[in-house]
This record gives sequence, structure tokens and C-alpha cells, in this order.
Amino acid sequence: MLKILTSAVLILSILLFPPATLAFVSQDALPGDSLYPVKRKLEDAVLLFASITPSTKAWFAVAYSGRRYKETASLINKGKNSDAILTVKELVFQTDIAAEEIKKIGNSNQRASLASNLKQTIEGYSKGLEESKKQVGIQVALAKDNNLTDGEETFDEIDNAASPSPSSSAKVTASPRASPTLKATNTPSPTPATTGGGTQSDAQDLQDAIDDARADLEGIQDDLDQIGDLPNPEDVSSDSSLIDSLLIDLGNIDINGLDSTLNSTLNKYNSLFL
Amino acid sequence: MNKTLLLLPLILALFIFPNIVFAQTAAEINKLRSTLSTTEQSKLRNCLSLESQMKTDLSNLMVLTGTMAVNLETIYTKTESYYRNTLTTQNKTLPGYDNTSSSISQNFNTIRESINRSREASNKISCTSREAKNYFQEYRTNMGLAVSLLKQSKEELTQLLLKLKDLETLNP
Repeated sequence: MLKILTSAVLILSILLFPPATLAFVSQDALPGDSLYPVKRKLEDAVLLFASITPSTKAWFAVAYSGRRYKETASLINKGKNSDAILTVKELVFQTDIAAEEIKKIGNSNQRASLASNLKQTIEGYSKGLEESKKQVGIQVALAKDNNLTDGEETFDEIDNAASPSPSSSAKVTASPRASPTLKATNTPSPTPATTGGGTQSDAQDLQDAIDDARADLEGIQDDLDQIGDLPNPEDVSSDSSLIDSLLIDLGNIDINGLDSTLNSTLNKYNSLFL
Repeated sequence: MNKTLLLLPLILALFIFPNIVFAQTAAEINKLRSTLSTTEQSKLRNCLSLESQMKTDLSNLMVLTGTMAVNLETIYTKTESYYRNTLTTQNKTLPGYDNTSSSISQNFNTIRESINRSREASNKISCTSREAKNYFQEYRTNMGLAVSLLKQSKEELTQLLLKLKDLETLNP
């Protein structure tokens, strides 16, 4: 019996070793890394399992928005401006999805709590992005003024003086019994260490993308303001308030925002094709 | 001897597989080089480096559109249920309700179809495909239709709810 059990455990360990290793190794992967698609697939899988309740789904969506922020920060730190442009847009997408998921939560307390936490987190993102935009501008100006041909040496010095790792900027904490909360800390900005990985036009595009993202995030924050006040559809006591709450829900669906995101995204990729 | 025999296929696979991949990639690149101009090659390089990111963006757009459609449909279902089960039982009816309701319902079907067509088109998009631009255009057209129908449905639902709000205050 013991032999069978030992064999079963051994087989299970061998079978689970590759996915577990992939999950571990890919957790810090960034867009452009070979393991990044693995990380995203694992996220999708987790989200699929988390779809059992709206609150866990919303919680994971919020956590993934934090991941996108960390990735943006890391990419800007590494000077991968063109990748950062796309990831900053993904950050907005994911945050928007998180807000939409929060709207679906039935429990009004939980919904309000998650909405308020996400709002604070977005504020952190916005500040961090603003700071990084300034830093990108400074690096571009420095590179221009000094007419740098070999930026690596100079930017290494800047890197040494860089602010703390951006990975501490958005922390997701969960206690086993209480509802999960997402805390925005002081949000050290993703300070770019170098512009060596991208051109000046990339840097300019990144600054523009950051501006757009901040405006979109502000829009999501406004939506979240209303989410906290939304009545729970199951708690609606009279039909009169049902119509009011449906009108509020309708007002929260930002289709114009979706339209402009759709157009800007498609316009960006349109020129790529032959 | 046995161990060597067991390792032989592995060693062969390790050496042969990369060579096959390399040879195929090189052949593909050569084929492309001969047919594309320098500008096209540069565009292709850009496209290939962004392909995965682009597909993720396109997929995110579909998820977001789908989520909004589901939210709108939930509101529509609640409205429909309130009208049929509450207002009409109080002999309160709205002229033209059935037409508006059926138009909104039809929109949701078209939105779903458009998103599905967009998904099919986006799956076919590949930088190395000659048809990529057409598929991209197909994606754009279908998503544009879905979003414009979402807008229209939202507007119609808002107007409908406002009329129902007036209706419920009337005495039967």
C-alpha cells in the first residue's frame, strides 16, 4: 500500500513539476520575454477557476491590473519604451475590466469596499505614471543635450540613484477570512533608468500614451465613485427604485470610452500591415 | 549499452529538431526577403515584434465589448421582466414598447455575432499572411458595428426606462 502511495506521489510530482516550474519562473516575465505568454495563459486559467463567484473574479481582475502596472514600471525602468506603450494601454484595459467585474458583485458592502480600494490603487498608478512621464522627459532632454552616443555608462549612474523597486508600488493582500483588499502604498514611480532601449520618438509616444492612460484611469475612477453608491439589485425594495437603479447602471456603462479606445488601438496597429 | 540506446533518440532529437526549425525559419525568411521590398521588410519586422501584443489588445477589446454587452443585456432583461410582470398586470402599457424591445433584443444578437466574427478575423491575423490587412479590416468593421449597436441599445434602453418611469407614476 505504501509502495503504491509512494509511486503515486512520485508520478504526481513528476507530472506537476513542469507546470509548477513554469508558473514560478514566468511570474516576473515581461512583455517580450519568451515566458510572458505562459504567464498570461496561467492568468487566464486562474481567472477561469475564479469565475465561480463574481467577487473572486473581480478580486483577481484587480490583482491583474496591479500586475500590468508592475510590468509597465519594469519596462520603463529597463528603457523598453515601445513595449511600455502597449503595456500601459493594457493596464487601462485590465483596470476597466476590473471595474466592470466589481459592478457585478451582488454584496453591496463588498462591492463598495473593492471599488474604494481600486480607486485608491488607480490614484497610485496615476501618480506613478505622472512621475515616470517626467522622468522619461528628463532622460530624453539629457540624452539630447549631452548628445550621448553611448548612454549605457551615464544611465548606469542614474540607475544607481533610482528610486526603490517599482515592484513594491501596488500590493495585493488577502487575509483568509476577510474580503481581499488591494492597497496602494506610497507608489514609488517607475523611474526610467535608460532610454537606450528606445528612440526619442518612442519616448514621446510613451509620454503621450501615459497621458491617455491617466485620462482613461480618471474616467474609471469616476465610474468607481458611482459604483460605491449603487444599490444592490437584490436589495431593491420597490419597483420605482428598480428603474432608478437600472438608469444608474446604464449610466455607468461607458461605451464612448470603449469606442475611443477601440479606435486609438486599431489606428495604432493599422500602419503595421503591408 | 542499454542506457546509450535509450539516450540515442534523445540526443538525435536534440540535434535534429533545432536544425529542422532553423532550416525552416531560414527558408521562410529567404522566401519573404525575395518578395518584399525594404520598407515592407521593416514593416514586417515591426509587425512581428508586436504581433503577440497586438493580439492581446484585440482580445482585450473583445472582452471589454462582451462585458458591456452582457451588462446592457442584464439591464434589458430586468426592464423586460418589470414591464411584463409588474406594469402590464396593473394595466399600464406603453405604446410601441414591443417594437423597441424587439429592436434592442435583435441588437444583442447582432452584437454577439459581430464579436464572434471579430474573433474569427483576429485569429486569422498574422504578420506573415498576405490577407492580414483584410482580416484586420474585418475585425475593425465588426467591432465598429458591435460598439455602434451598443451605443444605440444604451440610448434606446435609457429612453425606454424614462418612459416606463413616467408610466408607473400614472394611475391605471
